[in-house]
Amino acid sequence: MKCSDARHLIHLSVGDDTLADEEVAVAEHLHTCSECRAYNAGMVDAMHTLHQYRDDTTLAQDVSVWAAVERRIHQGRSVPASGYQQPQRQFNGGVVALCACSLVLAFVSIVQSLPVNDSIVSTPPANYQIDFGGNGSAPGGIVPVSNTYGYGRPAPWQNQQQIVVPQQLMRPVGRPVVPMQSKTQNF
Amino acid sequence: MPIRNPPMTDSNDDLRSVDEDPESMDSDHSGVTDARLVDEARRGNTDAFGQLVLRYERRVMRVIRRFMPDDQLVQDLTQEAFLRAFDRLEQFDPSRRFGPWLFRIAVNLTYDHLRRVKRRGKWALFSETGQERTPDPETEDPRINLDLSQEVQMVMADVPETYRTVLILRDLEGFSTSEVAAVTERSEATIRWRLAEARRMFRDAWERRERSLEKRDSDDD
Repeated sequence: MKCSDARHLIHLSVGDDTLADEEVAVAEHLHTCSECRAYNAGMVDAMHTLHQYRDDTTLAQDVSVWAAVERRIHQGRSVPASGYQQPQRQFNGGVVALCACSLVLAFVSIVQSLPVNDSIVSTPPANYQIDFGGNGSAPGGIVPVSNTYGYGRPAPWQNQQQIVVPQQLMRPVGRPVVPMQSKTQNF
Repeated sequence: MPIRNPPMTDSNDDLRSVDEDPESMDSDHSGVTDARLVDEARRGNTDAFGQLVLRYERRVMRVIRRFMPDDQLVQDLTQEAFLRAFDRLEQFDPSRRFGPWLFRIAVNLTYDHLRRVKRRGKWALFSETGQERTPDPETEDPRINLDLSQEVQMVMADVPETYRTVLILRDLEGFSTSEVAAVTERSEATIRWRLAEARRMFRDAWERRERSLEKRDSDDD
């Protein structure tokens, strides 16, 4: 038998909770193992202390709770016991304040992360310019600076049907964008 | 060693010899069984329930007393346990024993109370308990004056709840392992395992306490 198994049985044997064959096995192991013998002695001392406590404790023997229980039964338990309090749920101010702060913080974070609604544009964005007409053509309103968006992709405004830009009003501004196709051809 | 508080049953599977005690039986000197008293109490006979209270109150008080030192609180919890048992008599299974059911209510009620007190301290934003964390060297250590009962209670407080219950019921109140299993609604094999672990934990905690006392004494010298 291993010492760990023997010690498990020692814990039971000090309170007479072992079966007959277990008791024999423990005794045989204790006969051969000095460490477990010492452990057993310590365990017996601990149990002796526990039993002293068991025998020392005294209660007021002549106290009966039946009178109080009977009274409370007849009164529908409306009279609580003097020291014992029925469990009641009550607000804890600190926890409530903590929850409120957390909610406010979460709300602010959500509001800040919302997308800004820029449907009303008072000034043209960077890629647009105002066409005032000229050169014999009529004013064209706000037009994109180019109809290419680099790397041959269509510009975002080209997918938007709300903005219809006549071809003759297009005026390239700045450095012309080299299409991706021509770049790849250079390789 | 004879058991001071014999179990509530005379079942043959008990591993320990037991003394005869009227409190341990399902019926006292009147010869009326618990089952019959429970049956009458369920029909509204409070006197029958009163007999059950008188039959079990001392043992219930003793068990609760093992968990807390306040006698007044012990009495209040005992009252509460019997009232709860009376309220739940309809839920009691008559094919089972009344004693373990009653003790289960008492133990659960006691743990509920202890947890509530502990939780109240844990969640309090401002507590006065922290004022005395640093011991004053001028004042005498109150632990010196503790008697054996208080010392054992302090050590047992270090044993986890699940194991402490088994230790109290078995080693302090003399319940058999089958009764502890019935009270805690666990198998006897589980109770035997927990009992072994509980005794080991108590021994370790007790030895830790003794070592700390020896160290303190050597420091004083």
